[in-house]
Amino acid sequence: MASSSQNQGLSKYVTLISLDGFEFVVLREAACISKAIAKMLNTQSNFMEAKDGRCVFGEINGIVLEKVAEYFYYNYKNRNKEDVPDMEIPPELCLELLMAADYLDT
Amino acid sequence: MADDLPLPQLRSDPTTESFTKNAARKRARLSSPPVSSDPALFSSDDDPSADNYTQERRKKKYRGPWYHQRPASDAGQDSEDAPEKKRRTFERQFDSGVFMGSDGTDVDEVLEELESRNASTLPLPLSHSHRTQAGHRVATTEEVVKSQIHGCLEEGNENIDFSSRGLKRLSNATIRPLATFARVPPVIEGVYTRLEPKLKVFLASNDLTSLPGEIFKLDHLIVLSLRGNQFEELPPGIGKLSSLKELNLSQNSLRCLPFEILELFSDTSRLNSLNLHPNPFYQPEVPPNPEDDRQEEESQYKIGLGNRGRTRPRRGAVCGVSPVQRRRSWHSQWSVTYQVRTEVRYLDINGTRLKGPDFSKDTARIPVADVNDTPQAPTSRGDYKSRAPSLLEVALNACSRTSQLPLLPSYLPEDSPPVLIDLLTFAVSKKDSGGSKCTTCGRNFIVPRTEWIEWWEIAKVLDRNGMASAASPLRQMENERDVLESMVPLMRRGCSWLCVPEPVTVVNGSAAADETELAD
Ligand SMILES: [Zn+2]
Repeated sequence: MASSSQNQGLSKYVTLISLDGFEFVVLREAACISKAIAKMLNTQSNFMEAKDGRCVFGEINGIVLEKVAEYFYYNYKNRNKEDVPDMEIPPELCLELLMAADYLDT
Repeated sequence: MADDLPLPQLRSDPTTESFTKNAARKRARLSSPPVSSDPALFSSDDDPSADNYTQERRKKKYRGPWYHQRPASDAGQDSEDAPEKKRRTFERQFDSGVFMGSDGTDVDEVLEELESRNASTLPLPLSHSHRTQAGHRVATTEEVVKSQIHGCLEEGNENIDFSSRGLKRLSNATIRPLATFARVPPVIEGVYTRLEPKLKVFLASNDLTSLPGEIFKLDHLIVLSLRGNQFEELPPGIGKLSSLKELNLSQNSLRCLPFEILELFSDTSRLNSLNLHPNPFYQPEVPPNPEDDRQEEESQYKIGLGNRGRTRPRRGAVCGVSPVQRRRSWHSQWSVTYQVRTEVRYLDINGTRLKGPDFSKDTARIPVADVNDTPQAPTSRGDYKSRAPSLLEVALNACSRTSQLPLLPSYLPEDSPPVLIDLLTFAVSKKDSGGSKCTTCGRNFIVPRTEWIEWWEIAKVLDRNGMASAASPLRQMENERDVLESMVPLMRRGCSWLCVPEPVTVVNGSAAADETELAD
């Protein structure tokens, strides 16, 4: 994927990697709702992440990061919609997700 | 039995509620009821037996700004002075199971009595006696309240009076039993009549800053007095009290009311008496418009009872009709009209202000937005705007739904950012007071993303010829101050940056006045 859009310099997709090695490929535009990710992927910066479109989160485990990726999709899908459904969160994940949301500034 | 007894009139008359008169300072005291199972009555102000109580406490001194006017003895419920303590009395209505302390009854005294006399029937949770000093007093006060509610339920007493108890908070657990209140039906053989209870809850002269959400579920609540407390805001749930006939909010620290309070003026509501003042309400700051100067001068003379042109501020571009106003049908007894609003405050996902006016406590006047103002969100996240809640909000909502919410802060790692503890604490208080819904789209939210204040005129319609302000239904509106007091600030909150005020229908000043007159 990354190679196909090298002309434009940026891939449409980015990869989020959890501390336990799970990878989630998400739409760049959707992931950039997170201010932290947007900062990482900012091409003006010299972050490694900006070059290869891979963000490693050393503090977020795979289960939580999967929910985060799901949220990005949920948010993106519901843009410009009037009635936005609720997103379900398993209670046992709520606190970790809260911490992740704060960390990602989302 | 309660039906046979002439209940003293409730003091809704604004002249007695006014803080300038000593009468308003009288707290609802307990008269000495005959030793029978009659319900405890509130002393009316002319009840002579009330004079036998604590005469010293009548002389009250007032210091500081008017909106902090509370009798020194009210504020100092906890700080005892020794000579007064000796005069304190404690009475128990032996047959009712209700404990009634006199004004200044020491809570611990009450508790001792409670424990020694009634330990078997009203066991107190042990945990409360192991609290810290501060927590102890609050807890025990609430225990007394709890036992009083129990007593009221037992004997079918609909007057729940917790006035002047030094209450700092009321928990949902305390209020919840009131929902089960059933009025004792008169005994008619063979006929079972079910009467709707008419609950009256008096919380006047306490130190409350919030209300438990359970109170808004009391379908049969017809009187609620919050007079003389420390409220800076009221929970939106107040709008759910559709049976309410009397609401007294005077002598608090309210800067605005929740937008939801407008529900109380809808065509199905029963509200008859509303006391709003004194409170340090935000005032609208209307930009001066030189062209209107002449008209302004004229209106100074015209304002008064029966003047139909009256209470609308003449200056600036302030005339608009809110879509909310058009959509709703109001009770014929009330005239409810949108006036002006502030610009929109935009808040970040954790509730910090990014853009918009300052609503801090020190601000008395807030500039109004131009009638044509179109809210502009700050630089958006990503490339699109969405009504979807933030992930933080989604997660916080999930936290709020768990039964362990109050414990969650203690599960956070020690190096967690303090904002997470603040958010969870905020979620706890939000949940306790009954939650909140977006005033634009109706979605439940915890952290608001937009806020603005709308000023509405809420006036009671007296007759076809005139109306008076809600602040003082019986007093003529004679000066500008009165006019501004009819500008009731209502706080609106939105759940997303797209939940902002709808554009108003712009009309010029006189046309707007005509339009509302036609609507009347
Ligand atoms: Zn909304």
